[in-house]
Amino acid sequence: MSMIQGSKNKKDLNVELNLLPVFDVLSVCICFLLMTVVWVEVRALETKQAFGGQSEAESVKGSSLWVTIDERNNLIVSIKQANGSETKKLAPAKSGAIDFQYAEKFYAFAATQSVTSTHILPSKSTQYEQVIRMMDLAKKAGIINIGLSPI
Amino acid sequence: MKASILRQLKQQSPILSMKRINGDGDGKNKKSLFFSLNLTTLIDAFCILVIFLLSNMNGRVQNIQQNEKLALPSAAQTDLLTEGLVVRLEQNNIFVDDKLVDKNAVVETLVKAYQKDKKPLVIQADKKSNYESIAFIMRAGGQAGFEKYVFAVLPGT
Repeated sequence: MSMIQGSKNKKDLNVELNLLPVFDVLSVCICFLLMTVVWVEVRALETKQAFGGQSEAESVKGSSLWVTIDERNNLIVSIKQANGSETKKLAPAKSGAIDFQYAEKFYAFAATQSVTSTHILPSKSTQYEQVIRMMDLAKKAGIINIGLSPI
Repeated sequence: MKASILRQLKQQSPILSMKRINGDGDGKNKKSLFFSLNLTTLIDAFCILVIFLLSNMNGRVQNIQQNEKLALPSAAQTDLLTEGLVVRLEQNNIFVDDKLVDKNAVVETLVKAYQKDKKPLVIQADKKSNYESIAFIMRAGGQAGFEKYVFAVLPGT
């Protein structure tokens, strides 16, 4: 029944491919890719300078969120409206650390106030890790335009 | 007749009698030791591996060198780390593109780098470092003309 089987006079149609060179090439490929693969992927958290990044004309006039972290990790958060009114609140540090729970709640509130820009103003002694977490929480709340003060 | 003599000689060969393994097999009763491996399935698996590893490769991604002295902070809302000028802050030493730079010459180095290629500034620093040192790099970047800053972080909570 087999169509490809040759008889005595006909040539056998079954062809044996030498797969060893293919095997070698693939092995080299795998070795190279395994050596160059990035096991721990580093990601990015983008920001811009809080002040002076754009001209007066370019800056959008809208409500802005200001987050100040003082030397003792107290949090001073305020929303400045376009008409000049300001809502200011203080969140004292919890056992020496920033009250991130309060910050998260305030960010969620700020997101409902159609805040167009956010400025984070850390102090000199604020840990870099804490600054990153504050930015991360702001992004999580849906605030996109985050600026960081260069002191 | 000659062939039979040769065969007889071969059978009486002292080398053959010393040989324990005969790869070709020796006659009808002994089985050949040469066997064929089916490599097709192995090549299939290799192909899948190569495709997977190739799909993970991305030319646009900035590769950052990590070491034990430098623990990056983690963040959940992160983006893909694209190409940029990497400034590494390691134990009060500043490295611009893996070259140690004096603190007084950071601005000058960044100006030259920005004029060469207007990429964003990638800041790589230890999570325990003070913001003062980060702000120093940001200020220097601002003076050099950089507008966009990218912090290198690890994905996490």
